[in-house]
Amino acid sequence: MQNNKSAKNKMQTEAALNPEIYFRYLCGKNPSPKSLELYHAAITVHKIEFSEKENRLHNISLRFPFLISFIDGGLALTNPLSLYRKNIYIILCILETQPEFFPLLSSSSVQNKSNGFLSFIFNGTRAAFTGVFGFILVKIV
Amino acid sequence: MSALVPYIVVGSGCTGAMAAQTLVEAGVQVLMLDAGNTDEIYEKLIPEKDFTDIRQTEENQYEYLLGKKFESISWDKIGSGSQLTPPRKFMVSEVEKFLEVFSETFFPVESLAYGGLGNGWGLGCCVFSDAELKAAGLDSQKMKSAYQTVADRIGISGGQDDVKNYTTSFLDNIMPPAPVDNNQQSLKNKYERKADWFKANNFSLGRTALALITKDLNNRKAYQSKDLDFYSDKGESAYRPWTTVNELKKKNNFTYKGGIIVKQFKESENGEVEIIAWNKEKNEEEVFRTNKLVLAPGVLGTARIVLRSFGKENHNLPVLCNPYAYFPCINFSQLGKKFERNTSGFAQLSLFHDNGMKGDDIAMASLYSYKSLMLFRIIKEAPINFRDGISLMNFLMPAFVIMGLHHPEKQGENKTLSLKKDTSKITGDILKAEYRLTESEKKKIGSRNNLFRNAMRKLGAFPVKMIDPGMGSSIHYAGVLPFEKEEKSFSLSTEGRLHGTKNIFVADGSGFRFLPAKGLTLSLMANAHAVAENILQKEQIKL
Repeated sequence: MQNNKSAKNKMQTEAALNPEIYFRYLCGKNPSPKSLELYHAAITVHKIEFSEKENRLHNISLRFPFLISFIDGGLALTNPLSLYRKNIYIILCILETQPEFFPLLSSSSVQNKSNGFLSFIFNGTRAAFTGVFGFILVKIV
Repeated sequence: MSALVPYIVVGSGCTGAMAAQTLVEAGVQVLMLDAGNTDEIYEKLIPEKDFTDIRQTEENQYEYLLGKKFESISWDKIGSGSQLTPPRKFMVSEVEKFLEVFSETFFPVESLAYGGLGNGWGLGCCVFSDAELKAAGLDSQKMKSAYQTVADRIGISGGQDDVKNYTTSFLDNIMPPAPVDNNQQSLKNKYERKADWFKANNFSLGRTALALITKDLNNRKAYQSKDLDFYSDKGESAYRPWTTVNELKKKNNFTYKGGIIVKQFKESENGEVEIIAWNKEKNEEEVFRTNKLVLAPGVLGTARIVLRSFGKENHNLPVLCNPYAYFPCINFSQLGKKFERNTSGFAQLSLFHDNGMKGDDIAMASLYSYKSLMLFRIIKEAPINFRDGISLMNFLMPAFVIMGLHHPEKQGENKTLSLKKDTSKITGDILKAEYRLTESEKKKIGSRNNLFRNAMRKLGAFPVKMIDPGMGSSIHYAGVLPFEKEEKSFSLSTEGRLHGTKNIFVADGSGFRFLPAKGLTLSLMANAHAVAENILQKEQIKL
């Protein structure tokens, strides 16, 4: 019982220690000290205790960060409320309330309608592709 | 035990505030008993800026956009009250402790706040048609005069268009509506171009009438379109019941007592009423006495108090709640456009479907643009990875139209409330609820949802999903003590008196026998005013 508990705590600590890769995944930048501080405050309220499978997916993400979008997309289809995604979601919420990221997270980032539409098609296709590939990936892991 | 007070009003929400105002203006002595929870944290943190300015410049915006305890970050499925932002969460604080509901089918939102659920009211104002008033058991003539009184008190803005008949109809002194944003204007333009189709299919679209002032009124300031409607009430352009109670507090014949949760009443043979309440600050029972008790704690609160008072814990009371769902739609003409800076979180347009055009079977949809509730809430709902979700939703957001659709509701067998003993609770009981629609009701709602989906497509806004937050999520409740002309237990007289009592009146929606789909609050307030007037008339007190 105690072993299970300490294993869980370890998993949570691992998630808490490596938010940088998920910040980079969402916004392409390392988090500012303020963002990191908010992230740590948020996960003390919204506990992230990864299951074994989520921990495996997290470890893969650490080693191969380019796979995060696939894992995220695959889980969005198979287990949208997984804690792996919740961890990323918390980071998304924090980013959206940082003035620095206003251009990224507001419609002001859309340059013009035709470019926006092309980008929409491109991103939509990419989202579908990562979803399908990610679906297979999370089933295998 | 407190001294005998001529009138006691329970609750400071929309109905309690209106009933109290009517009594106070007639010069009688009124004591208001209220739980009275307030927001002590957020209102003072929100700066005097618009939403976009805040997003671009305020380092500490997370404090009120996400919450000091990150309470806006919800990883659950959407349910009743999911849209409450941190500055509005005080509305539901302590509800689990004092007003717990046990149910697998009904998920109501209740409030112990100063101003009650009125703190989160979407401000939609509609008068009921004659047919709706009759079906609800309300006196048409009295209600018409009461609607005008309430409209003058709270201030209503609205359009002079095809929906006026459903919204402000015969009301005078309606202020012009707040500016409409491009997203909603494009829907209105399409509606005007396809007016024949909409008319042939019994649909009408127009500006939503709102309890939102667009001209200064007393100490309240005209609406500024700062798009902070889900966060702040600065300037008080949006009507909130505490505006009224704050004004009443300045009068000598009004006393407000907060921290009180009324549990039950006892009426003696001479008609004096004893009120047993829980003082949550002192953690002890407190007793009040009055000649006339006016209950306005909200329909579910009234059900609890009445069941306890009559000692009928296992008695089933009926209950009504509008079936509700919302539909995110994409307005293709707005795709990729930049959001206007000064828009509104309130409904800007309303779409009515008047089945048979007789005014007795109307469904109502409110149309919202989506901005200040933030991207993260909608990105979570998309079945794609978050990174692509950001860019896709950025593109889609200016084109989002959220249609919130209410259906009318009738009484039914499996729509009931009862009180069960639970000694672990301070009140000694818990409210048990069952709410099941029949198959034919579900079918009717389903086909009407399809009619609305089709109407939205005609407006150029394509529904992408239906979100059903479950029964209770409309936050429109009524009908626990239905109006009856004859003396009958667990019912109200048409004047609002609780049958079986002499001096206990109910000023909330407990008496409504039918729940129209139209925004309910204006009618609740008009009924509360009418109930207070009835009491005064019986006492032969001049208004």
